[in-house]
Amino acid sequence: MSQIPINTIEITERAASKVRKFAENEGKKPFALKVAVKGGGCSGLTYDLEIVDTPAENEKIIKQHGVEIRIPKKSFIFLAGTILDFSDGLNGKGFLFSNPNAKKSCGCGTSFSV
Amino acid sequence: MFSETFFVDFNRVKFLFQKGSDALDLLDRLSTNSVLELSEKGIKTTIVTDEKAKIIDVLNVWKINNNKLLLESNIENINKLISWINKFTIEEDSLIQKQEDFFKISIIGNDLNKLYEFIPLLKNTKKGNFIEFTISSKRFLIGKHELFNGLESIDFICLDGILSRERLKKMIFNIDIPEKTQEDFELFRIKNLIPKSGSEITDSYNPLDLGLERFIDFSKGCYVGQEVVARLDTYKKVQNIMHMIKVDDIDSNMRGTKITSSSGGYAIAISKKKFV
Repeated sequence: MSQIPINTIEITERAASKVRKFAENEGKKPFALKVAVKGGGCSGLTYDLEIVDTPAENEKIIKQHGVEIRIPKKSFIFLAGTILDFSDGLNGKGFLFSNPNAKKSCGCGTSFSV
Repeated sequence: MFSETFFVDFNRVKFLFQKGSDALDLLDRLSTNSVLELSEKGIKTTIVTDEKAKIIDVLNVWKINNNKLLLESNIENINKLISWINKFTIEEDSLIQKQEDFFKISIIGNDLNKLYEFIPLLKNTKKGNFIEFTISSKRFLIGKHELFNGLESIDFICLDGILSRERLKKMIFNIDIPEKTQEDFELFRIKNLIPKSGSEITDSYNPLDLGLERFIDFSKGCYVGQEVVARLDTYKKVQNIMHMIKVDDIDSNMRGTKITSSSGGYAIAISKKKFV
């Protein structure tokens, strides 16, 4: 797994393209991708993605591949250094998180523990 | 067959409000039952488990409205439950508030006609629902629910201070429903295999060890401990079984058995399945 600086998160071109498509379908322009962490799920913490159009307070903003990513600062503690990718196709798993903070992930990959 | 009707003062029950637009969603992600499906004025029992599916608490959830839940915990587990919920409250709009002066009294049994004469609204209230009711200017939630073994109960929760406790007891007594003392209820509980916090409901066991399957929704999706619960159930790997035994039948050769409660010659034991 490639490593990225721990003060940011990265989105791959493939994932960014998918996000742009979702935003277009939702008719949101301008838009941003909110990446957050919620409590719960099999391993304790769950990733949460949302296409948003209005900024909120206390968010870290990163722009990459034409997508603005907003991360609430409390969530960023758990997400620093993460790479967001997308796995397409019949056996694809959708959005994939490679999170260096995750010590354990659940079977379906949507939740993790630190 | 169960025939008597009585009331009992659950003086070890403790209450919390969980408030906020994410309260229900967060609790759903932390517990075994599908509380998201709970309708307003509904009651549901759910189990909060840790990553290894060990029990943090078994609690009744009373949904006041979409942004306000009343959680019924107990003196043994309440602080652990609060810490656990707070640990997983990250961005969520969810706030926990302990309610020190609420109390609960339950009527158990089928002879409820006099109660229905006194509170007619209760007669048509369905199991798993509650009404708000005022008795002598004190606010109560009165719900039709069940004990942890499925036995039906009518639960009174007073929201207006412990001083109303004796007044409520007197009112129930006056409609010919006697009180069961704590000692007598302990024997009743053991004979009816109702697990209790601090005795059976502890972090030594998972919900399946205690036969609490009815409070697990196996199709609801992820919650903390879900993978372990699903695996134990699917592969029939539950290690323990809870059962009632007579104290006279206990002998020193009962390998893998722990007596968790005893009263009046009866006991609840949790045994390793392979030795039973």
